[in-house]
Amino acid sequence: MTANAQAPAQAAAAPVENLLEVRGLKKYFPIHKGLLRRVAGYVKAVDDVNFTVRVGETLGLVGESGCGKSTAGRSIIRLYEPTAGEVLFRSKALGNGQEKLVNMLDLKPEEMKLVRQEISMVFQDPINSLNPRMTVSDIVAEPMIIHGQKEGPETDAVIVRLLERVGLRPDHLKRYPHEFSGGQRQRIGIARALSLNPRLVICDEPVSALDVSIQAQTLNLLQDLQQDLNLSYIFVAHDLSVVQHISDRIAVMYVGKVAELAPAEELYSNPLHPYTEALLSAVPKPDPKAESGRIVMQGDVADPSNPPSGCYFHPRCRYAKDLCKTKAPEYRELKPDHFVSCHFAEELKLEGI
Amino acid sequence: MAVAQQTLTVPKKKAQVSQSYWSLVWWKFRRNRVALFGGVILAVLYFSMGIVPEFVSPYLLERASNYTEAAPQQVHLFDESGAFRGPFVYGLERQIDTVKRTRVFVEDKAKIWPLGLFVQGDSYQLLGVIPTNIHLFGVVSDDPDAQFFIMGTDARGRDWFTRIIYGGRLSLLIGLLGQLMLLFFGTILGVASGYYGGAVDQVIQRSTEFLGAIPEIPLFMALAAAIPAFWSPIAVYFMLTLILSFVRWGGLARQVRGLILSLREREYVLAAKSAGASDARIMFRHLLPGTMSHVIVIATLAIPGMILAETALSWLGLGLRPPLTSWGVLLQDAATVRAIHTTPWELWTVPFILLTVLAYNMLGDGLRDALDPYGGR
Amino acid sequence: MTQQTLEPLVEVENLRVEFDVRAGVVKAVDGLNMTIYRGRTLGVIGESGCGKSVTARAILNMIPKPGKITSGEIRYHRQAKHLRGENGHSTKTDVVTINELHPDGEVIRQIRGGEIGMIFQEPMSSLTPVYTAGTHIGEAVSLHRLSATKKVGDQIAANVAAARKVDRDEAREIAIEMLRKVGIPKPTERVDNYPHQLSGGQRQRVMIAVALSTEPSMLIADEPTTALDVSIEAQILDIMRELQGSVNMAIMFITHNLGVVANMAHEIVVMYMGKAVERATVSDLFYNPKHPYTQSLLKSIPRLGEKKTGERLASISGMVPDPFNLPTGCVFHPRCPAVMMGKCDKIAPSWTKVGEDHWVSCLLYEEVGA
Repeated sequence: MTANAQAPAQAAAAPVENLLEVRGLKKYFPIHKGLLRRVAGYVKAVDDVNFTVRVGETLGLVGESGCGKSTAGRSIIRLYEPTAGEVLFRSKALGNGQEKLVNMLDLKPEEMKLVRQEISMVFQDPINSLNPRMTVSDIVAEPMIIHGQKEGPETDAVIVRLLERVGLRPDHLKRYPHEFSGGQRQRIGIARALSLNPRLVICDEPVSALDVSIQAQTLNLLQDLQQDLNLSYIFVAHDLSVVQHISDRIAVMYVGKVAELAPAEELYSNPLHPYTEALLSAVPKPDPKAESGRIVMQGDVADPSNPPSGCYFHPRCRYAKDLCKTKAPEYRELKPDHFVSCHFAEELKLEGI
Repeated sequence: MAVAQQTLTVPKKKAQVSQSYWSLVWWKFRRNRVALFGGVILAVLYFSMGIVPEFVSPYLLERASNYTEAAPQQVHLFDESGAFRGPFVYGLERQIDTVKRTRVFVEDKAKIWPLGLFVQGDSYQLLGVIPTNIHLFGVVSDDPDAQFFIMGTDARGRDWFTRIIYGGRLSLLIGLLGQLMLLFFGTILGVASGYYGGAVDQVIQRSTEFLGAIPEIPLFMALAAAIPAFWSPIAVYFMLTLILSFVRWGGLARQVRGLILSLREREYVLAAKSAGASDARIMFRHLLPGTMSHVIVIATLAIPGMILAETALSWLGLGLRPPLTSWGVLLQDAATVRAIHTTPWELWTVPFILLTVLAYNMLGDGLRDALDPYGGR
Repeated sequence: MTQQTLEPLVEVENLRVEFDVRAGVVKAVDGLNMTIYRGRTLGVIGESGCGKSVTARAILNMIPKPGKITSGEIRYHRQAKHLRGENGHSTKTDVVTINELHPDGEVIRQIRGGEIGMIFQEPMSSLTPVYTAGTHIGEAVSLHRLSATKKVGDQIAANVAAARKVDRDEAREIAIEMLRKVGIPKPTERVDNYPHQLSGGQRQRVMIAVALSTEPSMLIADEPTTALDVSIEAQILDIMRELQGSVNMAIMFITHNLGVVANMAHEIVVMYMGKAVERATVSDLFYNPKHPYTQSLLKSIPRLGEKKTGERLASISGMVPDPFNLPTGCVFHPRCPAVMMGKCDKIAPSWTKVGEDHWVSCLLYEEVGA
């Protein structure tokens, strides 16, 4: 949260505060066609993604459908096995209390299980993210049980504390998920994610299915928890306003690649990528008098199983030139802590909010 | 503590005790009159035939008599003079029917055998342990010849009603036991198939398809023929049950597999995985319970099929044989041209079979409706 | 705003819709008054369970069982189409009371689709209080739902042919033209596609094309862009505004997204638990909201470009009440930041005028005896 102010110095110094570093992450899903189910092609859901998450900060992953943000989040903890890349994590569990840098994709199953105590996940759908046949207490306790703790008064005490921390009452312990509202179910999911005292929480669209007023409550809760427990978040969402509110830095994804990565304020005041500019302009502002000089992107979001040539965004980009059709742009750090993937990022003068 | 405390109220429901999934299912099931009716019928059938057949039937199974091929006796309330005597039957007298050229038994109005409930009769051991001789109903008389054949007798003078009751025991239990075995194997295979996919799935699916493609009756004949003749009837009985379920587990496995394929992608499964749950834990704690409700419905609706299968096979002589008694065995006796001509009352077996099948269908339909207690979730 | 005479198209007066479910009676809509004017867009905003979708269905007399309209009136000012002039106005108007029509009758079926169209979001579970009561509410009539088995062009053409009495070839031509109007590229090819061959955004556009193919006087749009990407949403909203201008169509735009409604609506009604709590022009509502619920709502949304580091959103405390256990007096009072205990928990507020075209339902603005 104070990282922005120190950004210039940060980039030059060794990334001591990087809790997680993702390099070249790829996840391809094969497409099977024909009688013999031959592999006809790949859906390149995540295609060479790079970013870092610092201790105590929130990294937002934002983009439209098919951009790969959810897949990226899930691939990091190997819910989907990545096709390529490195995920470097400072694990305390594997270092016996000391921080040890490991590549999560190289870990053996037993080691991976230990790391799972340090990274947890919150899901989007309040209905399907909780097992309807389990009580709240079972749901929240499950990670502890999986990691060898015995059910009993100790675990119960932990669960009660967790529930209170997320704003639920202890008498909810023995109830079932369907007895709660969407917002409360998300809180139960958050309590579950915290049960092993993680250091990093990946939030996969945690407020997208909630009502507006409940969104605000839940976002506040997440922010409070981050402060109290010194958590780092990867916050995946499609709603730019929400992401911008809670994130310190934001990565904008398009069809499996990162188009731009910058500190939140920098991203919306000085975007460097035409997609970011257009996205910012397309978000409907709750202000009737907002200028309607909107950039409306034509066409549909590109298809990750059959992306355009060169720069994926070129068919919809108002600044596209011939080079963009043939050559994919490089992902580079144009300004300190501000990465972009566009041939003409230096020349373009783009409008922010 | 910076977390905002909210005034959160859980929506109250009336009569809120346990709100678990199964209690909701029960609540919804209770409102379905037809299903409850079916359930009650089945409960009565299973109890009377499965657990206390000796009590419910007036005679013991193997009790032969001289009243061979006697028609069902009519119950009267008033005697010839019009006086009220309570329920009774007239005596039976042997005569020769000159037209059909057979022995028949006609009412001998001279003898009156009163009927009663909870009468004393042949001795037996209730539930296998309690010695008693009380039967649900029967004749109350000192006359040693007094008999009450509510559904007539067979060629050896055995009470047909008794035979149906005892036959029901085997038929009903085969259906249930067979289904439980099927449930067990089919579900496990289906879960493994759906969860692991790949080679495991291929092997399981192809073998079920292979088995399913073989015509059932010849397969059954072959397997039944393979049962050694010297085995005890009980062993034959269990083997039969096993075979019946073996041939059918493929269908259930496939349906379970389909359910697992969809459940597997639910976010609560991903949540368990992200917390480090093992495959076994995910399969048994998260996936299996999600299939249970569907499986129970499928199983319930398939039990009649098993009962009918046993009935058909035994009738064909491929299944159970005398001295074991099942409805199928009874039909062997009853469904010959001669029998229909001379002893049509032996077909009383059929309504019982129908009743059982109907009751199971009512119950199964009710369960299927109650399956989704959240309604539109 | 031009001072043209606003003609009412649909008037909702004192509407009450109740659902009789196992656990009790849910008052999904409880005394709602609102008016949709010809050629104008009315935005209806509210959260789950506020009754906005039920209101939309009530207007078309399409409330799924076990719900029914228990009181109130919905009046539709119907114009004979062939008398419509260039500017869409006509001199001959018939007032039809919709709730008195037979739900399956000839008249309402003519109106549905032909004169009042409806588009939905792609199906997604929405958490309403009625669901938690454990009742299955199914969609009664699938109006303008895209059938998966028919070609897109055929579906539009069928609609056109039914409403406009043209022959098949002409209907197909109109269908192609509609696809072009809603921005589908290569409409002559797309007209023969099946819905599954199109993307979500394209399907939504086709739904709009289907709805508009009959040239309705009003379009009810129930969360039409909620499930769409922001870039596609922007396109769809533009199309809707354009089409409204060209055929003078009224729109009832239902959404929970304050940004979208700010851009689309001329007037806005804010609903809470089946009641309207505030009604105003769009600028009055956003710049001068009166009802505490509206004010809180506006303060609780994150706004792009306005982040202050570490700031928390002003959230509305508490939760939506249990529909079987509604608070006494003003339904919002347990959550209200400006609650006056002793008054707000005892007296239900009534509709009060607080400005030109600005109405609220709140005791703060009402003179009440102690």
